[in-house]
Amino acid sequence: MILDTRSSDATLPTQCDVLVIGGGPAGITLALELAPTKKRILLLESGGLEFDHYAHALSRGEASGTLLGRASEYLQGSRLRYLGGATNHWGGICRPLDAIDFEKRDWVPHSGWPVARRDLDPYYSRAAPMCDVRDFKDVEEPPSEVAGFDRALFRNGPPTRFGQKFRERLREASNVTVCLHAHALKLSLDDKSVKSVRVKTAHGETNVAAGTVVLAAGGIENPRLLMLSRERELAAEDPLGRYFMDHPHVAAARVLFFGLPRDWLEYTKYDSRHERPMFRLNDDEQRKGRALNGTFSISPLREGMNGWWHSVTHGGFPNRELPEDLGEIKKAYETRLARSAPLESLWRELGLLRDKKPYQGILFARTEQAPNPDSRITFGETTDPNGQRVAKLEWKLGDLDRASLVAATERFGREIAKSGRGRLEILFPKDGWPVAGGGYHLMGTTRMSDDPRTGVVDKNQRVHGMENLYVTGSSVFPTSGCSNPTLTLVALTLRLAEHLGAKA
Amino acid sequence: MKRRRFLQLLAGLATIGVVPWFFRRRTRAPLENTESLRAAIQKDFDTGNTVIVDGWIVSRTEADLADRYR
Repeated sequence: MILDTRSSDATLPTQCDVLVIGGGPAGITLALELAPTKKRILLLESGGLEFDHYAHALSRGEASGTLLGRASEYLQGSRLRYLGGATNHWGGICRPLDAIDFEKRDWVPHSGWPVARRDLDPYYSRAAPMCDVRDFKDVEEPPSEVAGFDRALFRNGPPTRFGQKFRERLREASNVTVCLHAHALKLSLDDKSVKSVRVKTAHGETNVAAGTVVLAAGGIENPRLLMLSRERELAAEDPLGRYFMDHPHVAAARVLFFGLPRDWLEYTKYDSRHERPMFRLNDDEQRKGRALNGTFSISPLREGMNGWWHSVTHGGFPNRELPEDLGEIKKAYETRLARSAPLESLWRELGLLRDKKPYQGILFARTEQAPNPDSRITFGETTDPNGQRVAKLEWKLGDLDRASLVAATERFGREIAKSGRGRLEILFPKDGWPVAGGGYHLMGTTRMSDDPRTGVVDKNQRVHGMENLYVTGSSVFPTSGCSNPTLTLVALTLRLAEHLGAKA
Repeated sequence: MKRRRFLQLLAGLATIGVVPWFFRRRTRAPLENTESLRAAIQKDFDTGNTVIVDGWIVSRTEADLADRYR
């Protein structure tokens, strides 16, 4: 059933078997999977069935970082507080993580999952139809035309709005109660377990006792709720809230083609509504070059300054503020064109470049971020409408993140030149990043590890040292890979549901 | 009046370098042996003899030739 706790006759249950905090894709998946067990499931959603500003205001916080500049909307822009969570605005792009993402790589500090890709494969097969994409089992990725790069096949769902798709199933499940506008404020913890959860509704605050508590509130709220529930300050080496990762989305290069590369463009050969083949630095090259995982795609570059800026900004999900002075942008654009002119003249005289208006594209990178303990969630100075301290995010990228992407971009540029297809202009400034931002993929802050010193949850997603407290969602990812996280977090949640079901 | 405007425009163009650029472009000797240059460029890429010029990843041969056009 679905209970709107704002209604005058609504009474929040005070006991349940499994309390799920968060009504996003992870929380909904878990509640539905546990429904056949006949356990009493309580799912708390801090929003309603539709967007509302009061609930959204709870997502306010402070954010800064390498790619964020002064942009403060990151924490609110990346999340939605109503049934379905972030799937209410996601693009529906799905792909499993690669097997190499789960491995311990000696060139990537803090890498390695306590589970392998093969452990997740059966759950990926079940997660795919939930996200309305075809199974990735035995997927044949298209052949690559660029040495060192594979073609990674991403599949686009409709996209699936979990809150809409599964609403009726949640309503009909007699042992599942979805409580809307119910805010989990704090977990009451003793040394080994959660005793109860303090929940706020329009009628006041209530303690809810549960046999098992699962946090499924996302990469920011999962660590925040755990931090709010701790009596003591975190120890300096505590991994809780650390290792925050997003996928840097970067306008890495401009590509000038010597002919029209129809078969290369993601919007021509493949139907972009369903499948998008990206260029991915293959596993051998990652090992050889000690590089991170990452993909490239090429988007057509429109003509003129406006087109240039449009292409760079709209494909790159910039969180960083753009210069306010349009003259500055125009000057930078004209300088770039002037610098290119001698080489273009040469290529024309050599007969390499024949078209009067050659086809150009922006090479967009969507890459893995190396786990970084200094990239973290702490508390900000202000409080939210519930009087609790807001989250403060410091999203920090390291030297490996930039160096790895620059090297991969240069490699790609050399390969397309070698094949005679065109030339590539690197857009990275000398020490910084070009136009770039995040993908709103919030990962890593309650990471999974067998060792409590390096992770918050164990391989079954149980919080270290706690008997009945679990976490699910992308916050448990120890590394990010380069695939969009939703399919993997649904697969992990299916695995967790099996574990919790078997435990009963 | 029109003639005066035209002369002003011409003077303006000359000042910003368009006219000198136009004549220099017209008088520059064409590249010889473009075919062998293209082969040299390909060989550079095949052997990894590449450099970055103004952000562009080019062969050593291209980098050496680019100065002709500056």
